[in-house]
Amino acid sequence: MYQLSRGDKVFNGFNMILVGIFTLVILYPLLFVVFASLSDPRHIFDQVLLLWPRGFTLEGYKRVFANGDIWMGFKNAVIYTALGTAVNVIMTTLAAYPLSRRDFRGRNVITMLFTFTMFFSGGLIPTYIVNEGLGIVNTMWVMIIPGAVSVYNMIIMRTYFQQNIPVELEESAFIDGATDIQLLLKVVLPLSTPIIAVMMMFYGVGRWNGYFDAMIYLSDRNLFPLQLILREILVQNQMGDAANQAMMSVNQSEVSALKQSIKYAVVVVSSVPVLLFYPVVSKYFEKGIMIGAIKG
Amino acid sequence: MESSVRRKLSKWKGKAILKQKWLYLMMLLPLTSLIIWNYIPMYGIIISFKDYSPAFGIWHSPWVGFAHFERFFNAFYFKDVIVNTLRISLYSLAVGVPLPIILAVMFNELRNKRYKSIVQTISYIPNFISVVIIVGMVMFFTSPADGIINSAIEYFGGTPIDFIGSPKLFPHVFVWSGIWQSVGWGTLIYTAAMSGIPQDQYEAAYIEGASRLQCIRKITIPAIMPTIVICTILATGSVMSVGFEKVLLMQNDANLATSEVLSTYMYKAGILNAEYSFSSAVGFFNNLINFIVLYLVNKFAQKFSETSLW
Amino acid sequence: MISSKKGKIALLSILLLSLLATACGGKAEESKEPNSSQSGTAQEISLLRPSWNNLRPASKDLWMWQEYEKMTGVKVNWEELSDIGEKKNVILTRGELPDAFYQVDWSNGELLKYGQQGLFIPLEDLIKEHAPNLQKYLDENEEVRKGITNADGHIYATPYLDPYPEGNRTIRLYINKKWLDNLNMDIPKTTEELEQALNAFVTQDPNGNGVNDEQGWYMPSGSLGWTFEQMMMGSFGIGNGGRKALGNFIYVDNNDEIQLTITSDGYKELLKYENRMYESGAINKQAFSGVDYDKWTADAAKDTVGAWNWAAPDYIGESVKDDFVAINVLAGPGGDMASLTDSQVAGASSLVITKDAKDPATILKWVDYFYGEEGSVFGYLGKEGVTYNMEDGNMVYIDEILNYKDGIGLGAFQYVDNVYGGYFPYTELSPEVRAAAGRQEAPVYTDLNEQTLPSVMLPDLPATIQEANETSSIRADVSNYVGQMRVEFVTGTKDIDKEWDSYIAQLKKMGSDRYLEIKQEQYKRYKES
Repeated sequence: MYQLSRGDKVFNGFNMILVGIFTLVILYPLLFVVFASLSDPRHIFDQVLLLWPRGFTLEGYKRVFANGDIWMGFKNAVIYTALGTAVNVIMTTLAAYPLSRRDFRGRNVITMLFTFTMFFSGGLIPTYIVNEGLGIVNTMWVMIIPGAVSVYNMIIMRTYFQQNIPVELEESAFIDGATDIQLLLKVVLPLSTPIIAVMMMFYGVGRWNGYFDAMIYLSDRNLFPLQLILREILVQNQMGDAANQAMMSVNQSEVSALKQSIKYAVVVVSSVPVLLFYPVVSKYFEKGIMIGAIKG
Repeated sequence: MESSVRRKLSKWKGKAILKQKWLYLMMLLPLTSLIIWNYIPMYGIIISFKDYSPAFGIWHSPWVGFAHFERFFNAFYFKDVIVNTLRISLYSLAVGVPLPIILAVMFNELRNKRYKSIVQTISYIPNFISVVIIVGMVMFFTSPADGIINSAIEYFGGTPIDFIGSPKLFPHVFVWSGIWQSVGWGTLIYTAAMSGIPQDQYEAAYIEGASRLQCIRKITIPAIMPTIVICTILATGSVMSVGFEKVLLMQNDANLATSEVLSTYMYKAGILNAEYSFSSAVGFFNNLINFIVLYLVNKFAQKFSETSLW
Repeated sequence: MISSKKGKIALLSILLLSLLATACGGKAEESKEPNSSQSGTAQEISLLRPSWNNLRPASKDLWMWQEYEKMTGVKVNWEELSDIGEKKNVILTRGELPDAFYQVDWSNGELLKYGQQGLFIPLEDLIKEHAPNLQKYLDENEEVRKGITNADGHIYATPYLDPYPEGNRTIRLYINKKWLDNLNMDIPKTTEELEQALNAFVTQDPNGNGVNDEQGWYMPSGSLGWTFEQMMMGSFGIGNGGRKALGNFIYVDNNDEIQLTITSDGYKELLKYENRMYESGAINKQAFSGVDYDKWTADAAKDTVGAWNWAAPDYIGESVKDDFVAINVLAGPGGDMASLTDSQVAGASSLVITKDAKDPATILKWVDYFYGEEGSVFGYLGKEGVTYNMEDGNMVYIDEILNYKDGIGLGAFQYVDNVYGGYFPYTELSPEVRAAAGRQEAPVYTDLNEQTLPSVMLPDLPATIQEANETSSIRADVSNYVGQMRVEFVTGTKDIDKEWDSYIAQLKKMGSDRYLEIKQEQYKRYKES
């Protein structure tokens, strides 16, 4: 299309190589995890580099898939992530849009109100009491409804609206007699697919990876999300008082060997769904560009 | 025709609040959520000034004034812990804020769509890996006995370095392993912001003979500037917070001199001994500083840039 | 057009509101349920315990508890939680507590505090009346009674008891017998001989592979301080008092007085000993950082480990565990020796009954069975003909357990609970019986006897609330500092002789004198109680 200048060609090549090196640095440890998940745990550390599964075995994966808890956790995590992310994105948009409007009265006060909660909270116990009062402790709703708006994400979204929705567009919509809600749905949101995609990823991954609320609020094992099940496999006994572990000595090695054999497989299994999610969402980045071009 | 538009416009500006009823209605749900889950439990802050016991509950536990704060300020390690926390978090900020921006710009400049999408996807993956596994890998890769990094150092004639067991190197290992995990993910926001830049701006610049670097400087960066400013302000608001789980997993007696941060100290001194009020007081102090820093940085931003939090 | 938009919005808000509403609706049903179940027979108790569900069936489905319900007629409503350490204080804020906490670790300070504040109920009278097996221990064994009685004279928890020092109460040194044989060396009896043996290990290629890949003492990083070093305290004259005392930086001297280990001359000598071994490579260079359990067992499988510490050899992995032989004590330079053995009150908060228990007597009766011999066998082996059979007078697990794919211990854990020791409320079986259950023989130690055991094996000394508050912050600082200084002294970045005085001075600044004073006071009270 264009005649690339020499400097631009150099720039392109240089950029591609730099990004390539960066990608390799990111990639190797990821491959390590994949290879390790297919290796005999005793041989993972045999040489400095694990370039291929050593002592190839599918034992880890067999065990993971034979574990009923993991499937159940998977199902729960999908439900919590889907519903939770929907609530998050809707609520965040509802908060971010009015606050992005420079003519919205009280926006500074409300922004302050939100920001304040990033720093000061009553802590675990009063929050637990609130949730208990609402009767959502140990139900799926405690994984979906609380924490609907992350202030950080809300501010990011607000900034995007401010930056990318031309005021003239809003004004002309008003001239056509549109209400704020119509404006949001018909003008703002179609122009904002990239940020909605980002929000879906942020919230979605946060929900998918989160374990703390589940750990505190859920006691019915049938409600556990995947990450809580995985945590039991990966972390339990790791942070305890070391001296007390001696009391667990009889056949401690059996438990440890069991964990070793599946821990890498568990990581792979739990990350794949999120990876599949990305290409779907990334399409919206492209759409944003097209719309941006039209609007310009 | 002209005058009717004017009239509508002025009407819209005049009766702003009534006209904005829909905006307030939109805020209703998020605000309700905020009140229920953030402001109603807020009374819990008082346990920092009480000797909390579940037997009495938050309201009926005895007041102790600033006793927990005094204990914290007088603690033997108070100064070390604060210095260590600041060292790691400022270092993280200094590296962690600009790198995703640079990387996002580099991604944005890639012309091969396929390459771009593969590279971007790979860069996000580390974000999904459990910190337990990350720390395990860090230990293996940096091992002075048989880690890849030290094998390389030895191959080139150096002496092996004990990365994880050195107080001097701990901040580097901690921060850079964190960058490895989060830098790709951090580019997402900027990628989204850049997708809003109209392509014809670049085309016009090209026709005028601007080089790629000039385009980045004149078009890309200004376009994502508000996002940069906001992300930076928000990042400075966590200057006293250093993630707890990863530090605890990477901590050992050999690097303790620089690896003991507020959150791990709090864990050992408070939570392990079930001193809920003490932990809460330390957390309160922590966030007070965070809030003040954020407030000041935002003030600064209000003065010197067009973008700010409020 | 506009109205359809409005319709959508309305729909959306209704949807969101209904989400909130159903949530509240769900609550109403939820909260009724426990009430109705609790209003049933008195023979129903609710117990909260840490979850082991990642390793075996949930308690309600576990063979042992189903069987025990049939035997007693008491139905247990188990609530099983993981990460209980983080959650236990939140649980205490619940409107209604479970009847009892089973196997939840409460510190002495917590027991006393919550006991005095009325969350936990005193048990000594109830035990007298309803728990004859446990009461027998209290009557006949002063150590047990003192060990579980709090500073206010009340008992708030029933213990995990292990009467056998030759079992898991003792941390031993495991040394590579195969390597010793290859080098024609005897099993070390003194600290000096150990040093010679380990030095020979790292220089003379005892595994015979021609590569200098042998390690001397080698364990996951960070273990040295509470394994090897604590065991060697016995050899350097500062090891009397048992494992819990040493873990609290105190020992009992020849005048039956409490002293600090970390400021003693013996400790200074011990650090020099460790420093020598570290410099020569007899102690692994990565003793303080960089090796986790996975890495260590992987290295061990390659026959590169010379010596390490634990209560049982299994810890190092199936493939090499038989290469090692146990040493319980080593004579130090002054001829001192004492094993690193824990009190028989190994866990002091195994069962705690709360204020909301409707029928504490039933709970105590229910748990007391496991302090008697029959219950001990039931909790570890189960029932004859079901989970074990008699073979030559020994009780041996059934084949399903013996051949379980992940090992006998985990196999048994699929049926019974009391396999893994720590914190379960019961009395441990003898090592012989436990080994026989897996068709194995318990190791016989010639070096563990009246003379080599510590003369006193203290539990965590009962503390008043004020003492606990004071010592916990001093202890946190001291532990931090000693940990850092140990690294510097042992690795040689700081010279022990030169820096010793400033090290002591620093500890004094942190309040080590006050700490010692409190511990001495507590010990005096303990002896008089």
